[in-house]
Amino acid sequence: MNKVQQTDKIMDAIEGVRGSGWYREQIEEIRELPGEEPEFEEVELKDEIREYLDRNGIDLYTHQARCIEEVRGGKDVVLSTPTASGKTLAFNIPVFEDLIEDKDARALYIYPTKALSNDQLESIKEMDDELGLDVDPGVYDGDTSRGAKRKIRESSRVILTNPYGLHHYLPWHNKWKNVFKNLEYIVLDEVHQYRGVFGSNIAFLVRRLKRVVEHYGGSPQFILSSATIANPGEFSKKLVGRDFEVVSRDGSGSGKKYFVFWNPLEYEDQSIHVQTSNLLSYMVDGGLQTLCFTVSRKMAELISKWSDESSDKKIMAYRAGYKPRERRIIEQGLREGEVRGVASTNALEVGVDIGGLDVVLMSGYPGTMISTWQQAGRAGRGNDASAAFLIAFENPLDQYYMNHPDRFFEKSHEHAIIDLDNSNIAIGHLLCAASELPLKENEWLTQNNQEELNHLKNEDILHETPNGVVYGGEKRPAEIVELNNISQDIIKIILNGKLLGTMDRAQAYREAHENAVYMHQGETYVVQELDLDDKVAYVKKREVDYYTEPQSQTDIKINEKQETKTHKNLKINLGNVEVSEFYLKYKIMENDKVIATEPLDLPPINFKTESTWITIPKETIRELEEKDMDIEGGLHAIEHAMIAMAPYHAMCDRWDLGGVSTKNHTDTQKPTIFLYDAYEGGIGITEKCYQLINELLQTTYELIKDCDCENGCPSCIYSPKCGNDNEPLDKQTALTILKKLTKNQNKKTT
Amino acid sequence: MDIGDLAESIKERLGVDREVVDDEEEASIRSSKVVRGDLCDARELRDRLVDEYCGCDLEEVFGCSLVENGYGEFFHKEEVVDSCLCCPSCSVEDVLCDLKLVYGIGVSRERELKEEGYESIRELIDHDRWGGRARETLEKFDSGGLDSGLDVISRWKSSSDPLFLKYSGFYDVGDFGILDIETMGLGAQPVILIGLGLPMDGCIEFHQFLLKDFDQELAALKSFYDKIRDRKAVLTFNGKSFDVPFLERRFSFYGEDWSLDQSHFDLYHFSKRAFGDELPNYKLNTIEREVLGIERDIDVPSSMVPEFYKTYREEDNPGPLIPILRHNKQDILTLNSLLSELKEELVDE
Repeated sequence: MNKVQQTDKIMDAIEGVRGSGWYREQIEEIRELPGEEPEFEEVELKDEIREYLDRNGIDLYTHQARCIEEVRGGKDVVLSTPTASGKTLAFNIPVFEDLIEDKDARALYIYPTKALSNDQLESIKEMDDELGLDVDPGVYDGDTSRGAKRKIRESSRVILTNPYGLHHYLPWHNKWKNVFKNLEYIVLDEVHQYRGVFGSNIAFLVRRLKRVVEHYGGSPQFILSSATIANPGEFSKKLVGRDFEVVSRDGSGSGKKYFVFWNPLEYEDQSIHVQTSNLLSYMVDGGLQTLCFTVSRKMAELISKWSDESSDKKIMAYRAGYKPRERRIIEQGLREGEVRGVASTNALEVGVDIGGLDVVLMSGYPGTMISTWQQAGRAGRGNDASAAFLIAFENPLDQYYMNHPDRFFEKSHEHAIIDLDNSNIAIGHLLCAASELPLKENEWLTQNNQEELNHLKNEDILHETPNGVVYGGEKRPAEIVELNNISQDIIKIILNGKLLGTMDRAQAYREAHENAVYMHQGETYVVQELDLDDKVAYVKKREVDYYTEPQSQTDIKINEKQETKTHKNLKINLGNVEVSEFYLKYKIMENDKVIATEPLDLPPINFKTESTWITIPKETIRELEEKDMDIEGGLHAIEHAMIAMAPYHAMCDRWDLGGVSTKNHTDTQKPTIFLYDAYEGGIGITEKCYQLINELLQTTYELIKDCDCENGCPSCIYSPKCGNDNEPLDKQTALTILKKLTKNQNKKTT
Repeated sequence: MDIGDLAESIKERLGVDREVVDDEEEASIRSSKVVRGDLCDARELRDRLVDEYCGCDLEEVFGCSLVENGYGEFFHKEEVVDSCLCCPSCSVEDVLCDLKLVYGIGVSRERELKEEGYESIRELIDHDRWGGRARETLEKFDSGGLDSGLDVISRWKSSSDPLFLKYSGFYDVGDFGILDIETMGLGAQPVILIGLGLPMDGCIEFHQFLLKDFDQELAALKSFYDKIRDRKAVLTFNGKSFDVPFLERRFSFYGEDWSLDQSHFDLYHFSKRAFGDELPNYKLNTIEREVLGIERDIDVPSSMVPEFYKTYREEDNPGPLIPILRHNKQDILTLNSLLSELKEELVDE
């Protein structure tokens, strides 16, 4: 099909929607994003590789060429380009060239998940076979048999694994001696997933890996690949601890793309999910191959079912948890064009090769710009035109974008955050490292974490020896350090004497208090007892049709003010605080209705974290009070809206932040709004908010101002995690305060 | 939480989750489980020993000496025990009558060949089809050294095959080192005691290398390694999956490339095969009680060893070490007897 035809077809489909029976002006915006011509570059290549590329009809894009040259030059390289731009090939070529040259050379490829490493194995195997090398790539993870593991360590020259596995293999490094000794490359794929708590843990894991590899004389180069992020160089340096060459100018080109903003709230009588399935079957029936991203496994199943019922063609669901064979069939069907429509979780966002599609539907803002562009990037075959739909949910950030499409398109990709200074994370990895090899004085881990080290020695867990600091406890440290977790205060969930799962204390208060309904992998359990002394919750399996929701109140105390800045008559502060959460009662809910409220008897949760807080001049408040406005409701509304907008500025989830607002705080003696990192020790999110406070206040103001509701709604100031049942909230007061606070900028922009 | 509190709460979580059960059957399945009665008895024993040996000197109590070897200090105990390792010699012909050691020959092929009158691999060397491979195999046994013969057997036989036991007869008494270790855990923790029996003619030279503290582990490992490196074969109970890899990991932890790559006879697999049907479990204690009729007086369950060692460290009291050292010594003596017993069973078969 030629370009014009494809463009017409896409445009016809979008315009055609307007004529359908379920159209109620949901299209808020259609933005045409121009295509770009691909740019190619010639590179000197080994004959084998050149023939391989020619045979497969591949020309190298400029970014691939640059990556190859930088790696050959011995540099550590981070490749940060969009999905489907050929990143895997870009690092496979220099690695394989080296493997051809040096028969002992080894490479370790680390993927964020097991599923991804399995997916990638296929393409690496293919390349190995075609090149006739004996690289014999193998996946080494929890599913690998003991015999196969030995064989892989002995002879596979490309080993694929994941961080969870690596975390447990490192203490057994003597078995990996030959791998590590000859390790020339460590490839970390999809590194943008290594951010926040998970990423900070991975940064320590990478440092542990480095010291063990170096111990055996290996000195590998690092090659990182990432979706487009704002700070690839800084991020990679934090993740690995080295300087990186950044390759981020994408040469792969793209076709024209129509970006459609779809607001289901315009048609109140039809649910968001029904509208999504209508769109999916409509596109498929119009001859367009369409992929719909959903927020949950359950929605992937439901939307595919509903749209399949109303479409002439087969529409399938795809998610993690399917058998590999079932997934392969769908992937291949998508690639070859036989499968016309799929509803999927974000499992299809990365890695897996499914070719380019005509249309992508995103049911709900995926949470970050990075994910949004990754998902939208699944649409577009070569230089053909394509379309991406953002279907908004009824929550503040989604609705903000519907009302401010310019804000969406002018927004750059987020900064990925990694925090190397959180003691909660550092302390666990110090233990792991000391159980892998004695910690010497001149190491980064030692120098950067002197205080943690001293405390562990004082507690008699680590021991100073003539050979360095060694571990002497009973359990393997890797057992108690979880890469997804930050807290050391862990509660075990026990079902009939068996361990069902673990969670930190705060989560246990929310989900595993006495009589709570605990959900785990689709099953419901009722908590019999939460024993905080033994740190165990006992549960029984019960089929119930209600759920529970605790309510908490939060106190916050300022421990240390680190920085203050003044903006007009507004004071913004950054510092360390102590948060106390009081869980006093819980609601029993059925179909979103409260059927009872029961008291809870739990000691408060106290933790220290980072916070940014704003104090508002008393005069401002006095003026409003004279007009009889509800100050508390106003501050509370601003707090909620700020938390909702924080993910626009710093890469995080609204659940990563907590907030407190009060008319008169003991420590400041002023009306104050606090935002704090919901993790013990802080993880750098509110620090980012502090740096971007003007922007944050501005978008918060826009969010509330441009929401159509009169007195506040879930699209602006209601919070799903409010401990006070969203009371009091006052939209008008919030607007009046924010207007005063952002006045200066408004003048500038208008 | 400040860093001090963090370290404290980490320490708590690093303690072993001891699952206490009431039923002995259940306890024997996994070693992290301990029977309630045993746990109480063990703690009572520990407290009694702490009282009894308060202020005593470790060297005097055990008759051991503090040795410094350039790597640090450790306690070393050496004694000679009257006991002889039963090692009836075995001729290579006993092994060669198993034609299945030749690549390509399975059970039915062996039967056919035997019916045709080929009783030994040696007789097979001129066979039209199998001669070449038989010669290759034979060469490994005749001129390749003990290890090379054992390799052939390992390739074709399961680790509990009686042929291994038979093969142990090729080794002299003085070739063996009997090994058993006590550790702080099953993974990345230090070893605390290494017991080594070196059989001689008519007696066993018995060594124990005990850690003075965690910071002196390498010293104990080094002296132990020097003692065992010349022995051609290691005799253990479950040492293939535990003791040997554990020690090798500790060597590499300190950056030493020492290895224990001697021939290895792990009696665990043979015992399971020989007594499997008669015993409730395959723990060494059970086998020694049921098969060898040995009763231990004071003993510490293996899973409690770390707790006892911790008490020794924290209270600076040698008392809790007594049952650990005895336990370890008894394990080694039991292994010695067990080898004889297993070989007798073999003859009976």
